[in-house]
Amino acid sequence: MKKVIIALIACIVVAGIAITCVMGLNYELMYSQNTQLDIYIGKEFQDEEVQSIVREVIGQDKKVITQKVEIYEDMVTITVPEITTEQIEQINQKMNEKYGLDNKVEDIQVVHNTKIRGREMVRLYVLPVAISFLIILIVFTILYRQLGMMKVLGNFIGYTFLVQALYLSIIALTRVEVNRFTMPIAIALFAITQLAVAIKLEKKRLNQVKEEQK
Amino acid sequence: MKRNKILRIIFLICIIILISLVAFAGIFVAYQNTTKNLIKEYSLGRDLVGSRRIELDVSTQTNEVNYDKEGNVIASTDSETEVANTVSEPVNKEEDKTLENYQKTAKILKERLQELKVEDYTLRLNTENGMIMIELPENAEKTDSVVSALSQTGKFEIVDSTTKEVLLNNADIEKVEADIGQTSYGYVAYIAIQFNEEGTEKFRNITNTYKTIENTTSNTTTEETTQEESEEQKEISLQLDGETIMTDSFEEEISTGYLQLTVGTSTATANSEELNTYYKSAQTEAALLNSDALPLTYTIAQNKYVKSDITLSTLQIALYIALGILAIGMLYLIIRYHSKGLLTAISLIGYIALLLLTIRYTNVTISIIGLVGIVVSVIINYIFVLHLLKKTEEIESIKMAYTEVMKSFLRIMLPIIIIAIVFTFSTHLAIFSFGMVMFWGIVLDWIYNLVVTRTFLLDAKKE
Repeated sequence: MKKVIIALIACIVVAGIAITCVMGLNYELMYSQNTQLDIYIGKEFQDEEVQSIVREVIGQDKKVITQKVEIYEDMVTITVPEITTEQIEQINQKMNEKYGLDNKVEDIQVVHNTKIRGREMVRLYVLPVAISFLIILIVFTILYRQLGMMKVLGNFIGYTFLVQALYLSIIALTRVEVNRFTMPIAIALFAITQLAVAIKLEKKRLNQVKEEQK
Repeated sequence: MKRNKILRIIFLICIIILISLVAFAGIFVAYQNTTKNLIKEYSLGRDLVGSRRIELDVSTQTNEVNYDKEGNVIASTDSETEVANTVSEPVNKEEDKTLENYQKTAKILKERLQELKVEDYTLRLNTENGMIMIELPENAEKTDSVVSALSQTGKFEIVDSTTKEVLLNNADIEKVEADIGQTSYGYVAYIAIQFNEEGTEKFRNITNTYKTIENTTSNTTTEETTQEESEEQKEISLQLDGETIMTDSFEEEISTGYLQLTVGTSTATANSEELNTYYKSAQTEAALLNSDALPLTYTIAQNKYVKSDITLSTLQIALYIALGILAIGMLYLIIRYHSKGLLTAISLIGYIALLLLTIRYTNVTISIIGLVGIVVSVIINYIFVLHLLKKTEEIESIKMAYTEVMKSFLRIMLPIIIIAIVFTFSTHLAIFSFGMVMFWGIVLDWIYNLVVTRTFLLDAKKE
């Protein structure tokens, strides 16, 4: 059974790596190349209303994110994957009709954003995770030296890399969007993995102590 | 004895209910025709509330440049030379608008953000037109000065005030620091510039060349006065982005390569708002000078506060899922351990409530990763409670069982303690948030379980 699970995990990781190399990860709209339109409405509005107008123009299947701007929340930032000048004109017209505005296309601020690289997302987490992992390895190798140094190191390094690789492979295979929750979940998994390995090692140590007492 | 134990359990449950009500619902009082929650609000990170969005575009502005008859540029301060020709020249030449310069600009801006201790940011560079979009956390005290530092070119020069010859520039600077000092007038916020080896030598020469000429005394002879008048006082101008900050000469040679520039003086106390403002300006200038000057001039095309796209409904869905999992976990405790399980489940609710209150009152900024930290803390507490309940089945004495679980849990918890401590040293808000939540989670885990969970189990024994 254990061998089957290991083989299954290995298959998922290999497939995940292959998919990542070939297709890359599926980044959320905010992290991908996108276009942002800033439209002044001058009154309160519902995000869903604006999203509905935009989808009518660019297509119902397209991703649209709306954000309220400034403290009065009377301006909207619309983020879409791509948009043509004609579509902007149509959106402006529909927005004018809906909210009784007199905006011109020139009034709409258009910004073309480039994508954010995956390494930019990971950049900040690398140092604290690396430092804490190194300290954990040193502390546990000393504390559990009776279990064997290589065994302790192997457990921590092996499980940590396995869990992270599995997590990323699942993201790649299922095409789940890489978004703002991706890294926090990775960190939580990192912490829980360390805890789980510590529990495992503590159990082994207690068993060893019991055997020695016998 | 039995009655005392029951009373103690009831008392603890009442306390937990009270804490839970305060933490989950709040304390509302009438306030100006409405109600106001007396419980402190959560401090939320930029991924949950919103951020400042700054768009920096490559400037398309032009400068009016005056030329004399011989085709030499006439300095803007020179009003004597006759202007022969005026030409409009773009601040950024077309040949300078290259990918290399765009990337260099992005790199310098990142350095400035690091200098200003802003780690939590997003920077996007449009490699086609050099447009840079930066998202920063909104901080009433800091964001505006950061924006100011980002938009400036940061070109530092010491020039001859008359000939405009550049004597020193950014390349000669080793390090710049902002600090506050005390003088007989009060407190001064200043920047201390330390020049590099080459800069130190240049600066020494400057201080000799631009030495202050002492004033003639009243009894000087006409002959002497004429001689001194012929020796004209030479001065240097200190310029930042072409703007003259000060014009001065030096009283003595400076060979240390150290230059101190006063940003502002306050006669008030060391903690005054005025001095703090000067100090922030000094920090901004230090950050500018510690990085290279931007190869291109940029203008701020937009500077807006944009709310997060994570809506309340998204958070509600996440909350319902978490509550569902928690309910299943608590149900397992009750089914498996009956009255003990019920009491520890109640204790778990109290722990969550107390953790949330602690986070509010310790000013921990909650970001998405902070929310994950709360979940991890609850999981850890659950594992502890489960361990304890298992142990109570093996060992008769609750006190002994608790001590044993606590001993092994100290070892088990070491990785989490290490992660929490290392993360609390991070200047990045999200990582710091996770570290702080975990830190308080662990502290509460020990204190709360000792006071509440242990008492519950002791009193629930056989009753």
